[in-house]
Amino acid sequence: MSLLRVDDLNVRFETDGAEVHAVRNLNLRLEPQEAVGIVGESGSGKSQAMAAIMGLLSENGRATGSVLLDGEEILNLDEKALRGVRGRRLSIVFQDPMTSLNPYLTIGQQLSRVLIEQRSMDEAMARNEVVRMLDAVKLPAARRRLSSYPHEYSGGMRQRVMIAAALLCRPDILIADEPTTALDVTVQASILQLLGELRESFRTALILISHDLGVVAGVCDRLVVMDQGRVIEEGPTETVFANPQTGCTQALIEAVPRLDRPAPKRRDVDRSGEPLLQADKLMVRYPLPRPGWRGPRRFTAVRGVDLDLYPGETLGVVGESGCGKSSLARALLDIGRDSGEVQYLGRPLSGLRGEALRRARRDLTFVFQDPLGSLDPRMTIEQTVEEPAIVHGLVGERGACRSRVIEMLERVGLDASMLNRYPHEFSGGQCQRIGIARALMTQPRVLICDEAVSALDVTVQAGILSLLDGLQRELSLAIVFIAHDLAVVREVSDRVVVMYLGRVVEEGPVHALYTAPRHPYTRALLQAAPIPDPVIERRRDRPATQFEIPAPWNLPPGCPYRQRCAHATDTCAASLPELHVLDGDAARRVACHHAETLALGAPDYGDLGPSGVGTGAPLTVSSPPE
Amino acid sequence: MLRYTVSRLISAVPTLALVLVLAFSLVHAAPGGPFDTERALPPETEARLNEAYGLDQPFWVQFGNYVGGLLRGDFGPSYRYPQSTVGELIADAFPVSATLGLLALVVGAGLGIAIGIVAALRQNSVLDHVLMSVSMTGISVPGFVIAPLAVLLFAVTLRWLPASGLQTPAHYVLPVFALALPMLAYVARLMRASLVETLKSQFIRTARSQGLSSRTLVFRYAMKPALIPVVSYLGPAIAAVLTGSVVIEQIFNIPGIGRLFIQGALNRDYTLVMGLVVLYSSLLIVMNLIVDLLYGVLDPRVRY
Repeated sequence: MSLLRVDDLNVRFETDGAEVHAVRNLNLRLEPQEAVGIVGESGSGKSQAMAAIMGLLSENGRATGSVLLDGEEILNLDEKALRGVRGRRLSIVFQDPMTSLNPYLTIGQQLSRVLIEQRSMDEAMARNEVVRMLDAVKLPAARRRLSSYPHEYSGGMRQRVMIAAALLCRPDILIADEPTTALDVTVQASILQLLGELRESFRTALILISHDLGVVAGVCDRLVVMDQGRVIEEGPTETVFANPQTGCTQALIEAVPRLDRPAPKRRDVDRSGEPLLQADKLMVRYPLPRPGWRGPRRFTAVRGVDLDLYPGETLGVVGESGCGKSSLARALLDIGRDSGEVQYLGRPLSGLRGEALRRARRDLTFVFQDPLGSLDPRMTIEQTVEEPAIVHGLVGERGACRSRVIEMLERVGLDASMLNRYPHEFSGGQCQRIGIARALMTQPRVLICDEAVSALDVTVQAGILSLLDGLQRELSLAIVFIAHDLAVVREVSDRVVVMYLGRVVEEGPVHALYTAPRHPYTRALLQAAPIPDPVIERRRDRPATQFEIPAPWNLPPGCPYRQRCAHATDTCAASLPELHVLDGDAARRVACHHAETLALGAPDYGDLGPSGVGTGAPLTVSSPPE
Repeated sequence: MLRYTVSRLISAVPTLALVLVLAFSLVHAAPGGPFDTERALPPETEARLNEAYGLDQPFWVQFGNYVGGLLRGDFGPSYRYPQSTVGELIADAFPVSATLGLLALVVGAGLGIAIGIVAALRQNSVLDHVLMSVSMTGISVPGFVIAPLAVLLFAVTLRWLPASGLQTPAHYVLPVFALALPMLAYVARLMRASLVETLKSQFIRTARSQGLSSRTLVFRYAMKPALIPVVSYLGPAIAAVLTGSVVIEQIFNIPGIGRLFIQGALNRDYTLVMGLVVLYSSLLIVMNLIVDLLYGVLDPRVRY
């Protein structure tokens, strides 16, 4: 008998009289201690199916069918009966650890409450058990942290707490619903590793829901692929990846850019002339969220960044969240710049006034992360796209440049039938295309894309990336492409800048940087990025990162990365490494004291190359690591 | 938090100053003066009175004298009640209004929160609809309608309760009810809306997924965030209710701040009106500060 047996599960939602059939005839088996991955694009019904099983559908949702847990029906039980199932037998970890923990209670309060109610423990016993569990999820200094609130934790630590909370009552099944989607790639790697370990030690069966094939590849025994509420494919992970039976699965697998495959060949960019956009010692500061009586009242998000952008080039910017990528993007348009200078065509932006400034702004445009949020919900698509032309005085009145709007829409793969519709009628990918059409309206020379594809499904993302590539070729646009996904950045960039805590730590041509990183941080990022191939993913050697990013207002002296670095020496603690041109390669710059001497080796993409796979040990280190 | 409190109190000074200037100008701009009666005083008597109270001085000198007195804690003499100062008048009336106000606050906020919770937990049920329509009535029907109707029913027709005055505890029932009703209604609606909203949040879903009881969900998890909008409403509302209601005090013949205000304004009793304005605005400033400090207690993410 299966541990969990789902038969003919249907989930329907009643919205404004219309019915949405979110899950259609789902059948699922889960054996004890098995790990099953459910993948699919957004809206495929994977999360709703799990919510139905847990009895957590929103009020307008209805579930029919049968869910047997150890042979007992649990679908549509009343709240009281469900309390015996939830937490004790079936637990769930949600996507966003920021909002999923109670911000008004301490970690200790909310975790021990579960034990007090579910396992009738007294307060002291519960606290001890909570500490034991927090230790199990490798939360450092667990006992001391019981009295902290969730907002005092980083995203990764919060997700560890969520996992600990889900495991408190030793459930038979742990459902993880996109558990790493909101996290940085390095943190994601350590959370996935943790889930794997806990599954062993707690003998828990795991259902891992993800849109990211790389995430499920390494963890799951079996894979279920969903599309539009239906299971379209099911089988052992290796088989599904190696031999997908449906075109949809195949498209899903192929749309993911992979680090272990050769990157598409880029055109050569002529860098002999004058750079289009040039940043010089850019600084961005923000007021501290909680300033003390004394000490600094502001922190520096971007700490002296130099950049050059040449015509027709794509400059990729990568780094973990909080590293200053977005602040840098805004500062490049002279928004929020604190000191330093941005030169456009050799003239400082800050010196431009009136018409000259307007002209420059016409040339420098922005595409934002949130496709729907960056469009005005009260404006039609035509109004949205023509807006920049009106703002810049290129046309006098609304509707006067319809042919150009249509041209832009067609250029981004949309058409004139959409002119009079509103943003909410479109999908995320279409909205992002509209955003790009709007950005192109003034015939810009520079496009700054701040996480422009991060919120999109992989297949949609692939479409936008090829659109950007085509536009660049036709219009000889220069693009600053900011993203946290390293494989995506590699796909589109000519040169890449790696940022860490407001500084550039490495910069170089894309191929060199991805195959032979010279900063330990760059290598750690590449190493942490999952590869959507179960065979490769299981063979990869992934060092666990314990240290998370220090707060940008509380940096240690010396190299800011040294606490996470396996190669740190006394020199690193003593002084801050300057970003310098790498000996022997004028195209690359690195901010590491040991850039010239460390043999980091190529990142392990599992391709079994002879290039010293997985050997992260330093060859020459002047003194033992701390 | 101390630093925040101090800086907020300091920033209250210009606010108060502005209120003083505005109120002082408005009171003096109103036609007539404190010594105008139906039968005009002999001009020389009026001139002597004006001189005695400094009313013959230029506007800014009068204002300066008044503020100077305030700084010494002196609200000045009342023009219409020469036997007492404004300070004494307020000292007599404020406890009366404040007692009524506090009782109304306990009833209004307490019942309002309770009704809000019940309505939120029975969202869209018949009970919810009944409670919310009654609240809507409480908000929309003004006190000068509710109070006389209550008097008519309970005092005149049923003879259960006295109609006016404050001699015994029974005398308090009707005015407290009349004062509390709009507050109760407003708090109930606020509480219902914010609790319904809070119960939809992600962390409540997490708690449900952990199998916690609905009592824990509502009282331990959702209560604090749900109270935040109620607290922000209650701050200024408390200041208003403590300083008495003009209408209610008039109807029930209660010698409180509200009645004093009316009389002061009608009689052009400049210092009395000014004193009450100072009292009310200081209370308002303090209550708003307390509300802001309470945010920090309710939400650990708020730090000053």
